[in-house]
Amino acid sequence: MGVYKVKLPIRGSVVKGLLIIVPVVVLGLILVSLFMPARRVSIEGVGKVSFETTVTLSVGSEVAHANPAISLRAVGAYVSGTANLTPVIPTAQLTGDMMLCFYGTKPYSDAPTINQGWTSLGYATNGTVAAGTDVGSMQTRVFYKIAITDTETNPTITNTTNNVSGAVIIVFQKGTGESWNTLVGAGGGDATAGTGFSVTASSDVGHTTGDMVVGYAAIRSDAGTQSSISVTITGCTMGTFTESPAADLATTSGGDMAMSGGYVPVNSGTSSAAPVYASTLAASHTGSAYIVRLRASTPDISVNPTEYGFGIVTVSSTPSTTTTYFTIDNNSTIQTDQTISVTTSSWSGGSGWTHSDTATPGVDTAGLFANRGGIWGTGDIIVTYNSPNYIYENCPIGTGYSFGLKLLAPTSFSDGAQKQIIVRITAVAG
Amino acid sequence: MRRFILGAILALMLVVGLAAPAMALTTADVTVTATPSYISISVLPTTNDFGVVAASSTPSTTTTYFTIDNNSSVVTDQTIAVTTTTWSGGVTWTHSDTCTPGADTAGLMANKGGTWGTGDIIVKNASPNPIAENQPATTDYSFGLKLYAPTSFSDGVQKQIIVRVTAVTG
Repeated sequence: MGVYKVKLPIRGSVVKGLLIIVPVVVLGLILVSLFMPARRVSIEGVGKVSFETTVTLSVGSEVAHANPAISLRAVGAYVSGTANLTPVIPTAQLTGDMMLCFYGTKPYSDAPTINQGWTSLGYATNGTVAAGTDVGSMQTRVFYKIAITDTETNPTITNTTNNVSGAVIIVFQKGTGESWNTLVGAGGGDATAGTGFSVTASSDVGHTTGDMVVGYAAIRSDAGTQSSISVTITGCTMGTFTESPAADLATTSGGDMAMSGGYVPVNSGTSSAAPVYASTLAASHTGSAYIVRLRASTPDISVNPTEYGFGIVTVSSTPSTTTTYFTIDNNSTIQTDQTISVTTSSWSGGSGWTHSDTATPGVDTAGLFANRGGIWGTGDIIVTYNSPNYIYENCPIGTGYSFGLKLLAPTSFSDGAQKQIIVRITAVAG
Repeated sequence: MRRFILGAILALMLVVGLAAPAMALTTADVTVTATPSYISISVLPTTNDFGVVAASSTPSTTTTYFTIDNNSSVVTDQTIAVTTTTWSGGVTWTHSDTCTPGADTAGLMANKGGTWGTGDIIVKNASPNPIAENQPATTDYSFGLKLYAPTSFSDGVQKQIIVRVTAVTG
């Protein structure tokens, strides 16, 4: 057997050389840029000009929300019947979990209510056909609640016009430090009987990487069990759809119905169209589906400018910035509670100053006030070290604001060395 | 081939590093500074003995004999004065605020690091003269003292007076 050598039109050594040199040069340039000093001029105090050389390192870019870590906690079992239903919360449920209760029912016009602090997010139908055995338009509705205890009580769904209904509770957990974004969803119906079941939701509620999409469909007959369920969203690359519970609900109570669904993560991309729930029915029927988007985020704030010099201050003076001097850029996709504090109990530099948590100046003891865009003296906030005070409680999603700082200088000084302290705004889910 | 693999790995690290998203920031820090308006001076040495002086003599230190260590964080105006109207010891000397010696009357001049006779400053008790106006923060300086001895003495007892440099915000 002969050995054939293929001769490239470009010499192999040149190609290899480029493959080595180009990445190394690019990496080198990035490293150099990271450590390249930046010249900065700052004016401090009265007529004092200083030149500083700073090295600024930054990594990556800001994101609108953190990388969520939503995962299934547990799913309960389907319940069904012609009376009020009490779906079962899985015992694994913990405080802070997002509990979703998908409820399929007919007639389509049912107006079910729920207790135990649950809320109806929305519903969808596939027409206005009256309920009957294996016929009738279906209503698919979702209720939700964020668990406030580890052992939530099962809710009861009251439906006075119930022909038949089925329900299941599926529970999701979020990552540490994250909070649930406002729950959104949309649904629709497939009123054309066939084994190919497809529902395009009424709207694109917005989906992006890290979201979890949960969808269920209620079918008008117990023969309408589903297989090959999927949720697709234009613009998004979806993960694997998990049917949960694994087995469909199929009941011959009342006018019969079937129900199934599950969840699928958005692996990447951003939606540009409404999601589509699709499955294959075991028999030709119709039904409706509802699709919910789960998103969890951490707060995301930044401040500008990041430094301020009061300059030379005299004893017992109270120099201040304007009350809009600092701006908080709030990119949080959740409501937040924001506090203001100092990060140390004393000011550094020479004979350090004690920081007064009551804003009471004294010998080498200073205090700080903050004011959020108002008038000094009205609504001033003490900037403490312990037990930080709110600067903005229940700050709405994406709402930035401004604030100022006022120094309450010590009543006497032990030296003239510049003092420094760090003021920190902290945002948590509100 | 090894170089090829190394290059590929570096390129992959680069791509991964650039693509990695930053964590959301739950805190935002502001660095706040303040410089106390602080005035602090000291002098060394704290004593000087002109020794035995003859009538109408004008003994002096060098004009850099005393050093003011200026730890003030602000610009200051500094004056020089004597703290009393007389020199103590035996038959006291009157201190002349015009630096005009006389019988048991003495005067003092100061000079801030220059040449005696040029820019001399009368060291007075009342209405002290400036020795360092608009003295920059944390900037030291030196000075000297010249005695204008009385034209005649009533005794031979050692005389003493305190010279004080005072700094205020400039």
